Amino acid sequence: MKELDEIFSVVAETIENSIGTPKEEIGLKQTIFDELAIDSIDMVDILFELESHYGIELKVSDIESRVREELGDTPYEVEGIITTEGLVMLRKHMTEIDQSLLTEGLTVHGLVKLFTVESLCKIVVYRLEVQ
Amino acid sequence: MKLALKGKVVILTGVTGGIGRQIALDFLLEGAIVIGLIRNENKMKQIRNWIIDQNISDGSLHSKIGDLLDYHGLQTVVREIVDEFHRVDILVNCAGFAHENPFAILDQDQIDSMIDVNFKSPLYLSHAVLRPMFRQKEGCIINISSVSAIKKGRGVAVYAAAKAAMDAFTRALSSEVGRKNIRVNCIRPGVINTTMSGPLLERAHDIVNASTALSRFGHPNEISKAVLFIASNNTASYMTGETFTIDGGMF
Repeated sequence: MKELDEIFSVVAETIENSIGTPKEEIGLKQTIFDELAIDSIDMVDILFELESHYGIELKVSDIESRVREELGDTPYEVEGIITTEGLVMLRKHMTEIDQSLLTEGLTVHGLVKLFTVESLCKIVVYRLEVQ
Repeated sequence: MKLALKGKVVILTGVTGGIGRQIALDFLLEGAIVIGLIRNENKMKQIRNWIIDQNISDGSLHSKIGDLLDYHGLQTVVREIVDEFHRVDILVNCAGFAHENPFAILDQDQIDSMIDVNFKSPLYLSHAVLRPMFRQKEGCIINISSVSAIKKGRGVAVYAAAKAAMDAFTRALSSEVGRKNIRVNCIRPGVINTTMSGPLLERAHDIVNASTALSRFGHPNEISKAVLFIASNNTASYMTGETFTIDGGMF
């Protein structure tokens, strides 16, 4: 398995190429949408570049795939709101996210806003493992 | 002014139709590589013969078998094209058809097929080419709509709706992908003389003469020339999100 540091280096360079922020100013803990101001189209661009680099297919929903797999038949979300069980799993698997924000009432859409650069690196790790 | 389309990789649907084959021929004349998405090779042979008959080499004309309504199949075809030709510069969504009957007597299959071919298929194919175009940081999508989208007319309710949807799709998609240097435009042809002949042509002549400022049909090359103009970054690099009506000044 590739080291997270190695993947981070590629992800940071990809972000730099897409939005112009120097990679030296990009950190693992930064949130993608708020702190780096990456919008949905830039995100598509970044995912496509990472796909090309690693020869894999990526989806933003990959980030929750591990959580959904581990929950099995237990619902991860109901009508877009993440269940209590889903939040427990997110706290376990998404330690990079500010845990104080993983609270009852969080929506699937709202979770995306909390994604960090490390979350993006983890998507790559996940796909490299399962493909 | 040179169009600088030499070596550009063009995916074209509807290549076996009157407008589509002319678009293919004009791209070939400019030195582009044209890949027609077709259902079977039989009609493609006719197009090759038609092109050769005009002393144009068909060496850069390729074809791929693909079902325009098979989303995953189209993704695979586009991947194959990228593997073989290394990029996709231009997509022209030209496939389309109409059952010209009053809406009240259309059956469900006719309604569905007109929405599918005229609208869903361009969505699927556009979706498939965006991945390589994002990676290239460059691309051009041209949708062939119809003047039916903006004019009143009998017997084309579903066709007109599907084409109007394509106009809207063009506008909205261009807003999303413009920053990535991908341009999306649309052409609305008027009445183009493609396959009509004999008495039908004579009857249509009278109607077209009375309803267009130029008092005549359009010729397929009057559409294809516009497609090439829009496709070229030398002539249309600042054009995106627009639909251009080419209808001889229809009243």
